[in-house]
Amino acid sequence: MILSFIRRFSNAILLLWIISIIAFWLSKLTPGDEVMDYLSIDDPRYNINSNPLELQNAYLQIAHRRGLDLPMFYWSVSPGYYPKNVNLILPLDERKSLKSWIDQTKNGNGSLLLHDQLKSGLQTYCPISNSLAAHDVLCQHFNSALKTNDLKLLQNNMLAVKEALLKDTIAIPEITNQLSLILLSCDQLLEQGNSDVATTWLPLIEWNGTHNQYHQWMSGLLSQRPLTSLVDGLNAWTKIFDALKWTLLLNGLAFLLAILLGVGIGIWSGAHDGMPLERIINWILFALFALPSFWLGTLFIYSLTSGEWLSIFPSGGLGSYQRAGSVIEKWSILFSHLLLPVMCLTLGALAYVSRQMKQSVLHQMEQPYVKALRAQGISERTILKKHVIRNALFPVITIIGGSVPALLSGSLIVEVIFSIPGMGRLMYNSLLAHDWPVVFPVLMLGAAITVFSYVLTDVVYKWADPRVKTV
Amino acid sequence: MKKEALSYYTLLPGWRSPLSLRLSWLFILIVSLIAILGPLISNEKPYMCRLEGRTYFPLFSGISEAELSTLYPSFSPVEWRSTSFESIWRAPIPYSHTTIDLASGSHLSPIASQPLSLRFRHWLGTDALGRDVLAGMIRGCRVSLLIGFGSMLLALLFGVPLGSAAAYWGNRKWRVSWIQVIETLIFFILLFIIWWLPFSVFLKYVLLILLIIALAMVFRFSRTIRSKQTGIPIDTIVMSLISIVDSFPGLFIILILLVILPVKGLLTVMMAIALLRWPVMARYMRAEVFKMKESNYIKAAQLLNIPDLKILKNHLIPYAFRPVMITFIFGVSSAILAESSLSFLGIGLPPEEMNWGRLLSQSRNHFDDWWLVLFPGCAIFFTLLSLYTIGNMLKKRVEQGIPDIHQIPLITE
Repeated sequence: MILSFIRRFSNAILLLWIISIIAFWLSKLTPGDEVMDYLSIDDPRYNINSNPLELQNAYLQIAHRRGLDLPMFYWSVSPGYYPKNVNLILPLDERKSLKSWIDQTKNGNGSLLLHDQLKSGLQTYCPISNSLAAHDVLCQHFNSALKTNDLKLLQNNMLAVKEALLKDTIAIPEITNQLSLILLSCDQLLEQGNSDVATTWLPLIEWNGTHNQYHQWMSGLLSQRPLTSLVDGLNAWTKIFDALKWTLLLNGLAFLLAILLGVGIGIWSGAHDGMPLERIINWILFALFALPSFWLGTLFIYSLTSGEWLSIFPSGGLGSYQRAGSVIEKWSILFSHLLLPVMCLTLGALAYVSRQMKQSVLHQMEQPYVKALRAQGISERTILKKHVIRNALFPVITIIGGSVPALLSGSLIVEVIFSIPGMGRLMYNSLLAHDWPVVFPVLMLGAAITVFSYVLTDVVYKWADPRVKTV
Repeated sequence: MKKEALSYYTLLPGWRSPLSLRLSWLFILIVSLIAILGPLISNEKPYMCRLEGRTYFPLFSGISEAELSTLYPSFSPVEWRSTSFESIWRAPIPYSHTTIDLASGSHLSPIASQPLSLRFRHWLGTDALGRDVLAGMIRGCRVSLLIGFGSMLLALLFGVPLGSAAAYWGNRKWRVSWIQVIETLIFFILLFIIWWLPFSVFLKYVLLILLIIALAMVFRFSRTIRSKQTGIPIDTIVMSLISIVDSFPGLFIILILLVILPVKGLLTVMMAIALLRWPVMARYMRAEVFKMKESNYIKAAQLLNIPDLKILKNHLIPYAFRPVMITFIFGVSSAILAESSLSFLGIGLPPEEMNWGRLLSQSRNHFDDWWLVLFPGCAIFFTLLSLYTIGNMLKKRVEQGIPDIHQIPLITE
C-alpha cells in the first residue's frame, strides 16, 4: 500500500517535471522581447527611443541580472560558428539581420565584426546632426545597412555610398577609410565564409550544468523567489496566493455541494428508478448538464443582480469584504457574494455526479448478491443502505477526482463573470495584459493541483477498495 | 464473414424512437442546414439586382457596392438597401454578420419599434455595434459546427491510431531486435546532424530521402542477423502522452496557446481544442481494443498469419466504430462548449468572425440587452442538449442491442 503510494507519488513528480519543461518552453515562445519587458519595469528611463548605446548597456545589464543571458537548458546544441550572446543584440531587426548574415556565411565572428564596424560608424556619424549634411545621409546609410538581411545587397549599397563620396570633393579620408574597412570585411565574409572546418561542420554540444534559464526558473518557482509582475512591477507571488485562496474556497464549496447533493440525488433516483418524480428530476438534471456555465452565470447576473427584474444579490466582485469589521459581517458578505458563483459551478458538476451515481446504483442493483439478499427477505431499504451504496460509491470516487481540472476550467469562466479575484481571473487578466511571469506559475499551480488530485483519488480508491490492483 | 458489427443503423433515429431523440435530430439537422446555407440565408448582398437594364448577381459574382458605384455614377453611392434598383431580389435576412446598420443603430431591441421597414427589420435586434443578431446567430451555426466537428475529427485522427496501437501491441508485443533499435537511434542522430549542417534546403531534403532509403535497406539486412529482441513500450509511451495532456487544466492551456500562437483563425482554435481532446478518443479506443484483442476471432486471425495492421484495420477498429461514435458526439458537444466559452472570453476568434459565444459576451458590458443573453444562449444550450440526447440514446442502444461479437460465426459458408 505504502509502496504503491510512493510509486504513484514519484510518477506524479516525474509528470510535473515534464509539464514544467513544456510550460517553460511555452513561456519562451511568448510574443515580445522578455528583456525589454523587464527593462520597462526595472529601469523605466530607457525605452526604444533612447540612446542606442545606453539602451544596449542597460539591456545587457538587465539580461545579466535576470539571468536571461544564460543558455536555455541543461545542455545546448548549436552550430559551432554561432557566437554567444547574439540573442542580446539590440534592436530586434538588427539582431535578425545579423543572424541572417551568420546563416549565410557560417562565420559568426566575422559577421559580428562587420556588425560592430557598422555600429561604430553609426555612433560616430549619427549624434552630430548639425555639422555636415553628408553625415545625415551617412547615418541613414549605416542604419539601413544594419537592417539589411542580404549581405550581397549590403556590399553593393556600401560600394555605391563610397563611390558617391569619392566623387564628392569634400570627401573626408576618415570616412572613406572606415567604409573601405567595412567593405573589406564584407568581402572576406562573402568570399571566404568560414575557413575553420571544425566549427562549420560539427555541432557544438555543451553541458551547461545548473547554470541555465530553465533551472533558474524552476528553482525560483519551487523556492518562491520573488517574481516580477510586468504590469505593476510588484511581487507576483502575493497576487497568486491571494487568488489561490479564493479559488480554493469557491471550488471547495462547489465540490462539497456537488458531491453531497449529487450522491444523494443519485442514490435516491437509483432506488426510485422509473417513478414520475424521478423522471422529472432526471430530465432537469440532464438539461442542467447541457447548460453552459457562462450562460447560467450571465442569466443569474441579468435576472438576479442587475435590478432589471430582481435585485437580490450584489453584482459581482467581493464588495466591502476587505473593509468589513466583524467576522459575522465578513461571512455575511462572503455568503451573499459567493452564493451565485458557487451555484453556477455546482449545478454543472451536480448533474454529472448524480447521473454517474445513479448508473452505479442501478448497476449494483442488478448484481446477484442483491438478489440473494432479497431472497433472504431483507428489506429494500436495508439492502440499499448497507450493501448497495457502499459498492456503488467506488466508481464515483474516480469521477470526483477526475472532475478537478474541469472544475478549475469552469471556475475560470465563473470568476471572470462574477469578477471574483481568483486564480482563473488572475490568469485571464494576466494573459490579456501579456503578464507572462504571472501566467506560467499559475499554469504550473493548476497542473500541480490536477496531478495531485489524481494521486489522491488513486490513493483513496485503493484505501476504499483494497481489491484494486497496484498500478 | 458477416459484417454484423459494421451496421450503422444505431446512428439514425428509428420510427419508434422517443420524441426527444427525433426532436434532437431535427434540431441538429436544422442547425447544419443553416450552417451550410448560411451565406444564402443572411447576406447583405442581394441574389439579383437590375440597374439601367443590366442584371447583376452580387451574391454569386461578388461585385461590391463600391464597384457598382463607379459603374453608375448617377446612382452613386449605390447601396444595397436603397430602393433605386429597378428590381432587386434580396436574401431572406438582408444583413451579413459583419454589416453594421447605422440607420437602426446599436442596442436595438427586437420588440421595440424599428426605424426601417418590415423587410429590413432586425428580428432579433442588433448588438453593441449595430450588427444584426440573427445574422450573427446564423454565422454562429457555421462556426460552432465547423469547430465542433473539425476539432473532433482531428482528435479522432490522432486518438484512434494511437489508442488502438497502444492497446493492440501493448508494451511487449511489438518486438524488434536490439540492432534495429540502435540503427534507428543512429538514424535520428544523423537526421539531427543534417538538420544542423549548413547545407541548402534542397540538399537537406535529398540527404533526408537518401537516409530513409539507407535505413530501410539496413533494416532489411539486419533482419537476417540474430540478436536479442526487445519490446517497444507503445502503451507506456501513449499513456504518458495522455497523462501529460490530461494534467493541464484544459481551458488554461487552450487560452495560453491561443494567445501565444501567431496565427489567429478558426483552424488554430480547432487544433488547440483537438490537442486537448484526443486523449479522450485514445483512451476510449484503447479500452475497446483491449477488450476485443483477446477474443477468439482475433486469435484466429493471428493464427492465419494476417498482418497486425490488417487485423487492426479490418477487425478491431470497425468493431469499435459505434462506441467511438458515442465519444465523438459527446466530444463534439464539449468542443462546441469550449469554443463558445473561448469566444465568450474574447480569445481565439479573429475580430471579424461572429459566433454565439461572442454575441453572448457583449451582454457582459450591457446587461440591459436581454436579447443578447437569451438567443445565443438558447442556441448553445439547445445544440448541446440535442447532442447529449443523441449521444445518450446511442449509448443506451449500444449497451442493450449490440450483437455479441463472440457469437458471430467466424466462417459462414
